[in-house]
Amino acid sequence: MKRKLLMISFILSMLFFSVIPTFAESGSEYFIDETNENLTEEEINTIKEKSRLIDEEYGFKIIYAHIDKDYVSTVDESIALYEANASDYNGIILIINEGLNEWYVYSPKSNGLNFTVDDADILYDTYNSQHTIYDGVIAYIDKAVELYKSKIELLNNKSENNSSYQNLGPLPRLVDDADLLSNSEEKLLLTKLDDLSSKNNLDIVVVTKNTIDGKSPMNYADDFYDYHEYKPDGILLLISMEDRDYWMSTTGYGIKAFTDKGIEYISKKIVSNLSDGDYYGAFDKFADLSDKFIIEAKKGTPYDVDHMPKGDYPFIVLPISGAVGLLISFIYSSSLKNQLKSVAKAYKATSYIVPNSLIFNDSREVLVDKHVSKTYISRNNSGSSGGGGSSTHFGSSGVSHGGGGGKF
Amino acid sequence: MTVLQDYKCPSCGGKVEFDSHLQKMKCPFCGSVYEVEQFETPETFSDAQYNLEDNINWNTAAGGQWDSGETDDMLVYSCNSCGGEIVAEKETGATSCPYCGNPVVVNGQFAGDLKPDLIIPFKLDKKQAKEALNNHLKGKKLLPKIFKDQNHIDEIKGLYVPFWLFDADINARVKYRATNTRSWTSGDYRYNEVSTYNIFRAGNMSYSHVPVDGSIKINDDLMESIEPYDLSEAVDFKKAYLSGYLADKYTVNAEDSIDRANYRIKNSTIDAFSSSVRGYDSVQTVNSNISLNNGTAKYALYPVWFLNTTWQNNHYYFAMNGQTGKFVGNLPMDKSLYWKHFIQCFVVSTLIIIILSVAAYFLL
Repeated sequence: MKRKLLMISFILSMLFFSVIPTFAESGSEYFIDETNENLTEEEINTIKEKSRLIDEEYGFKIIYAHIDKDYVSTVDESIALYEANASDYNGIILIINEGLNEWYVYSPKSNGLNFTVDDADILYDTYNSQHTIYDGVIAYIDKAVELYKSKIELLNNKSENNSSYQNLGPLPRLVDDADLLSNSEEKLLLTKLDDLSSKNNLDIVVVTKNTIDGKSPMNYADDFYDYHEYKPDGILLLISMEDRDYWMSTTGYGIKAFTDKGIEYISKKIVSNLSDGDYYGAFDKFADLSDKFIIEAKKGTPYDVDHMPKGDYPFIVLPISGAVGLLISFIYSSSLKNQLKSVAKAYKATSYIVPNSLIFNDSREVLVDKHVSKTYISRNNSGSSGGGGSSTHFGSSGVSHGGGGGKF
Repeated sequence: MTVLQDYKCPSCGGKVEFDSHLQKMKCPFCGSVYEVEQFETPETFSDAQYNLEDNINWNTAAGGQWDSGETDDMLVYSCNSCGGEIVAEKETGATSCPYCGNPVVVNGQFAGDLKPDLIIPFKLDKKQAKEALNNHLKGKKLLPKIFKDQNHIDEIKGLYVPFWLFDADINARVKYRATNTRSWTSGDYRYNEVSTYNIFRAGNMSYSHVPVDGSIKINDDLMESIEPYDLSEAVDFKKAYLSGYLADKYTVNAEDSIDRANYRIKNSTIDAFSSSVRGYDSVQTVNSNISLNNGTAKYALYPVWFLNTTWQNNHYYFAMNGQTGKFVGNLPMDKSLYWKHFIQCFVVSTLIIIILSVAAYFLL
């Protein structure tokens, strides 16, 4: 009798323990990988732990899925996976489908957070600009939290009717408060800015200030653009004389058209003009380059790491061709000189070898050592072409901006 | 207790053991099989001592004896300004030294020296020598124009030059070290494998009629530059061949000429052996050991046309192989012509490169 009881309880407990794992599995996965990419156990655990902590603190589930199916719709699959893992929660999922080479970001509209298509782009770009999948997922999670927090804040602000968005009234595209330009220069520049802006349907703005009241150039430029009724897409160049700062702030389509590399390029082109005090020259160049960049972006290929505007003719080529020409003529004249020389002592006695007299009577080739060495090659993750894109942040009004700047 | 020696497998480094079934050495780790001899250290593979001395035996008894009366009408002429001595029949009436152009005087009867074993008679005459000189001057863009002045060409002299000819059988042993490199990529790693080999060659070869200039006065490099001579046209020496031409007395003994012959033979041998080592990325000669047997020397006269000129206080010596017509001689360079060509080439090539780069800039 005792024996029978033991047997039964043993079997029951086995069943119980075998079922528990499946209970644990369904309903709360943060990291789904069906392709077995080379992430270590440790990395996977870190990701899962990170998402879990965020879930606990904010009640917001951030999910990442990596699948390889070319027979399902990526959109459907993302919804299905989201339902399976976060159905009742506030959450968001980023899915990468190798099979169809597609990605999708899904967050149910019912949670009222209002994730937009732009947000989805931002999340994907953040993920894709990293060099390894692990870094990409971590960055995605960070960005998702940031977005979530700002959405929440927006909701709170709206409901409290305490919007931080201020409308200070419209302003022209050239605001020369630091009086760096003469009247005629101002007129010319403003005409150009207006023309280029309306032609491209973006606002290209230049602002000069003597002081920016202790704010950082980035914040000041972002806010200036947001609060003065400029178009939703544009770029603004701010000059702050007090600390000799310049900053370019991009909004909307401007973020796409002016990548980090692009901003760097334009900065390089105008900074020497700014340092020399040639403000008109700098602003004029800025306007022309902005136009050029927007046109290129509208073609679908904005200037970025792998595709920059053609540089000026590299004048360094001239002395190099001179050096090569020198080398060639040296070789040529040496060969002419050698024509004159025909007398030299003989090194060998080749003509005097008795034909066919060379006979080997012992010939051995023996392997004495084999040595193998290996070196590690660092690998770039597929997906991005090695960096690029635009980094973004949120302004105080909740609008995201890109851009960059420096000192002159 | 005996101490056993460990033999390392060259492929994988593991300890090899004697396999009694195969009667060979086998590596239990990688399965490679080797001959037993490989693990002994035969003298030729031992790094302990190398026998660096070449073994060279020459038999330098060359030349024959003159018949009596043969040398009666042969005179020795000597030049007071350069010290050159020539031998010619009385009738030749040599008047100027072929080396420096100054007049010569009769120094006495020719007697006592060895009679040559072989002679290659002159096949080309003075006219052909002149033509050869003209050809030699053609197409040399940096030659000063004045050199082609007709006046100098007449000074051409045909001379029989004494040579020592060496025959030898060579026995050589050369040791090389060679490597092969292979690389490939697998996963996240790049692999590089270097295999090192010891290579050994031993063999024989023979040389015949290696010539060494027997006259101090005549430059060795000039004579070596007009080689080779075709020995199928060499004949036993007869005094009659000398008539109309001058002959130089040998002033260097056979024994003293040996070093030059050895040098050339050794280099040729190593070169011939090295070209048999193929299929490796890099080959280095570790050491060589050459022994020379049955070395014999012969005394021969070879035909040479000589010309010398003076231009701007410099002497220029030309020589033509009197049998094959090969013409040599260093020529002076006109510096201004050199710079003219240099600058022209520089301007043209630089312009071409600039034009190409501009085109590339605009088209790409």
